[in-house]
Amino acid sequence: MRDYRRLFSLALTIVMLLSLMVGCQSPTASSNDKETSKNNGSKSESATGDHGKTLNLYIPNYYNDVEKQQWAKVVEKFKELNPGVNVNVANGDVQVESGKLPTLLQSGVEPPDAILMNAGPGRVSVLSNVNLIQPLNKLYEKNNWKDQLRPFAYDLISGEKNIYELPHMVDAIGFFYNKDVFEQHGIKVPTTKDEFLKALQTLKDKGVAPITVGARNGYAIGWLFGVMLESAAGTEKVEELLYGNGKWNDPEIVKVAEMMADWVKKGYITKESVTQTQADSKFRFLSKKAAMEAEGTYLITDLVDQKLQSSVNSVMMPSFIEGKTAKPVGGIGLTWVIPTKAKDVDLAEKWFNFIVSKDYSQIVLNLPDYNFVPASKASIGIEPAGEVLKTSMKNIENGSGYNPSVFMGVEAKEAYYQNLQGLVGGLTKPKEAMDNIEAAAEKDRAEGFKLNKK
Amino acid sequence: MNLNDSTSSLEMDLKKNLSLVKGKNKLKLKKLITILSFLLPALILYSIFMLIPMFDAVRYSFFDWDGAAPSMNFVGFENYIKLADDKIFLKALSHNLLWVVLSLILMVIPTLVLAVLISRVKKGKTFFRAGFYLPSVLSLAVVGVLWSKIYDPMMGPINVFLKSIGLENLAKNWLGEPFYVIPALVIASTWAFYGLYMILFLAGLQNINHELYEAADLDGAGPIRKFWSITVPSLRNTLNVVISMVIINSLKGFALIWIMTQGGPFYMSELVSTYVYKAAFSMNKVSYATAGSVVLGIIVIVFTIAFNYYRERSEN
Repeated sequence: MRDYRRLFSLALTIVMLLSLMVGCQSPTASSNDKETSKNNGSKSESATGDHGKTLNLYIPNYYNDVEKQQWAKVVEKFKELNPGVNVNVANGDVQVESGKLPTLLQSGVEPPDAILMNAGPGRVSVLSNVNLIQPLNKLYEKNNWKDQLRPFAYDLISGEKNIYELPHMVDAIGFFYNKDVFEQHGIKVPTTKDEFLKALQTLKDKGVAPITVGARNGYAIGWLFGVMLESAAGTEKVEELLYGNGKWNDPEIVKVAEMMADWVKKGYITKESVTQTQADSKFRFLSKKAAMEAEGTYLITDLVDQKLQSSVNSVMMPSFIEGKTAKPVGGIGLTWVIPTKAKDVDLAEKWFNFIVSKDYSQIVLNLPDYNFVPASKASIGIEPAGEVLKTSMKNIENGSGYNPSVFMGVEAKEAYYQNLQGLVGGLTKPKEAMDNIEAAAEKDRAEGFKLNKK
Repeated sequence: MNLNDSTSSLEMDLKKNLSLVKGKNKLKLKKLITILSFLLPALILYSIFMLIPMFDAVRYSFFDWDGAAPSMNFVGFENYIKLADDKIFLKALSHNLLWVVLSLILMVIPTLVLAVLISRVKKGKTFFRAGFYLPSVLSLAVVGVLWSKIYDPMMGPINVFLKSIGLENLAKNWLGEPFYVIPALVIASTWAFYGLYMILFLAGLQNINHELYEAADLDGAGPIRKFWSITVPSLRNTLNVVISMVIINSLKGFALIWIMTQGGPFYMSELVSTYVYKAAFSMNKVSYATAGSVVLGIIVIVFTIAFNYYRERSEN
């Protein structure tokens, strides 16, 4: 009896230890992954080179099924070009702001070989400053990626001694508008400041919300403010702000904040937007309850998904500066990085070469529902199959403006999001908001945050 | 009796004592091993998952560390000094205190009244008990999304109802206005947790001696008098547990706020927990965030100890 008890307690202890070990394993190590690696392990023993190896990618959550299918096609093409290489794609939150990506990398457990993350020096530096991602200088040199990227994209990421990213796409954020809503109320696509303001007033008078924004998500209110900044202050002013000695409480910038507050007051931007998420705002726009929304080309997959390609198009907010043309804002939208602890850098390199290749651009731009402007030079001569993307690519032919969110330090960005929310919610005054952002930017500068551009 | 005899009996006594001591020691050791074998599994887990991280948190708060760098700079109390000067942190702290007060008001007495009402129900008691407990089984993520929709200024049922009965002036942007955002979040949090407290009160109510109520009936006491003079004093222990739990949960609340407002708009619902999360994981200011957590931890501990001390004193 006693022996049985001992045996039983021994078995219990083993079970407890095993469950403890299993419990402490990485949540990313799903059974599927394990199975894949197990299979691959057995394959690679007998194979040489890349045959049987697995490339682990970590990319943003799919917006919808359309995007999922696009990725499947891209992965298929890569596999076709690299026979024997398996690709394991995991999806997740790739925004540094939410903290999930830094946490994933800090844990150091089963890091992917390459990550497609939300770009911008303010984001990438959060990871590079603490060595969570590795410099790619040698790979750039070896593969001559510099000459394979759009110059605008390369310039944005190569200002520092080390390059940590390979741009995936160039952002083109501007207004999207409901063509039929405009037509229904007799509004033509505005090309001047007066026409634009008149359109906002007409829409308001007709009981249609002129602009919807999901201000609860900081990045979305950042898009709108970025578009307004480009239009009212101009690219050079924003450039000075981000790369030079410009200040957020500069009278010209404060004027843009005043304009935003004024638009809320006049009902051009609904005050309720302050608690609206980006998803809610998109729903409002796509269901034609609002006439315009500041968005990037990401919206295209939703348009395809809901069969709205013919009733929605993109338009730039006209420049409020005499003789100037406003550009779409953005910079790099999504960018590839390699974690410091990545297991297979060679495969990641192969993948990056594929991303900048003509093969990749051809396959994605021929998809009528593709939603990004590729950052590679190879994509320049290719005409996209989708109409909306064609307009967006045309808009950025002469380069693009800046979406400040992606160029800010961590303190300034948090202040930027919160204070813009405050402006939309009527919780703060324009000058006070810009002073707060400047104070936070000053903190970043004191911590050594400084942007350099080639 | 010769000398040899007395020596041998002494030796025998000594041997006897020695074996007795040995036996006692063996027994003590066996007892100790038994106690340790019961304690160790929990103690090891508690040390790994609670004590060591807690100790580490305090240690990190004295350094300047970004969470990944191989070296840390010792900065002493600098993080705490910065916190004392950080307007947003102080604002978050004041929101935490407001949250505690509102939670106590909205959670304790209404839940107690509800429990008393359910205990009086003659038929369908289980149905009501299960029904009211239901929100507690939902994950906070679900509760957060649900209440975000309820509070939606344009499509939310509250505003739709108010507008439909002509009370448009009362329809607010519940999560967007400074005066309403924290109470709105506390109401959602109350809804998520009241089932648990209600069950505790129901358990407490079952232990009250019914003769007390019968005696009160004979004395002609009304329901309110009975509630304040019998029910509430008899539930003192349950009340203490519930109040302690409400205070602790209010101070460390995170999930609901993160899902519903992320501390916004314009820091209006920022709590210490959301603030330190952003500092640690969005800004890589791990040490600074840890110092904030330590401050919050100390406040929780002080609150709990002070409350228990007051309770024990008042009982004595």
